[in-house]
Amino acid sequence: MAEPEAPIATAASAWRAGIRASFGPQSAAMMATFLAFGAACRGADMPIAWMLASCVLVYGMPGQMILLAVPGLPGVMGATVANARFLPMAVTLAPYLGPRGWMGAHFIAVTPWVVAIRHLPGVHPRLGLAWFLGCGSVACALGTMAAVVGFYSAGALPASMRAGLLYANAFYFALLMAGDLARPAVRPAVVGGILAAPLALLLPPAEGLLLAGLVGGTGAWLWRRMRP
Amino acid sequence: MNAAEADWAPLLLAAAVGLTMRIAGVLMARRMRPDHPFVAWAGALAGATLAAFVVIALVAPSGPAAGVPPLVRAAGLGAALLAYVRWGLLAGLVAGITVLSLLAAALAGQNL
Repeated sequence: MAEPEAPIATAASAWRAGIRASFGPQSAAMMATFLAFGAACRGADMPIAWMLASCVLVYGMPGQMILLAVPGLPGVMGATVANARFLPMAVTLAPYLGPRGWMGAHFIAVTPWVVAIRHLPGVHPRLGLAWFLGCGSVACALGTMAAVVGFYSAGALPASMRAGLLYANAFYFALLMAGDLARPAVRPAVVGGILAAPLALLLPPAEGLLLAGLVGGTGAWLWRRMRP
Repeated sequence: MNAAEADWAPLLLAAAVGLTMRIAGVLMARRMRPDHPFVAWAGALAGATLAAFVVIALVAPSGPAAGVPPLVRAAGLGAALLAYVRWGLLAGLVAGITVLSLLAAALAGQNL
């Protein structure tokens, strides 16, 4: 019989609980995408220092992929737009992180958010930040380690497997989107983005993505507001 | 390319903007409710952008990913969705990558 989990009563126990929560299927899927990112960086002839800085400092895979693919200011714009979802995610987590919640802000990304939004309602707000720092920092470290493995194993992998890993990010986010289609609050935005995606082909990549997101997102927001 | 030759400015700028957005979101929550219209609009924009990013990545990829034929991409996505519905996120991801890799290998006449 499994030992019952110790109650979360101190910052240390909250931090450890956050670490434990970070090991799960979501993190495994995230690691696959970071593995692919590492291989893609190697394929693009980027130095490992750039890849590590991208994983640790940006820590948002769509933005990281855009920065890799699109050079200069358009890449920054595209990455900013692609990672703009961090803002509403931060808003939804803030009530659970306490008055110093900004200290954990860097780790607000899709995977830690998905885990945190399920666990944090059961953690006292006084301990929420410690919990999230444990969860977020380990998730970021796991992703970075996977990227290093991908970077150094890229040359050893068969071309077909590299092709598969190149699509890990797209599949991962496609599956998260498929899950979002079952959530009425999120569904219009996903549908709006899918319908507006062809607009992205009319302009250079970063600006095109900005346009598609703006049109699809605003359309979805208006549609939801006009509904009774 | 070595570290000195890499273009660091866009990366550092994007990281700074990303951190600012995250901190702003946390600080904003003190003044706004999660269902505030601005937050709802930002959330819709973020969701739509991610959805568009995925569609473009799958339908009109660029770089090395563009070398994978559309039917192979579609088969990979189909396998991922089927496995996701049946067994969950990780199984879906593994199935998608595996099917795409196997089909790409078969088309190229090589073994994994």
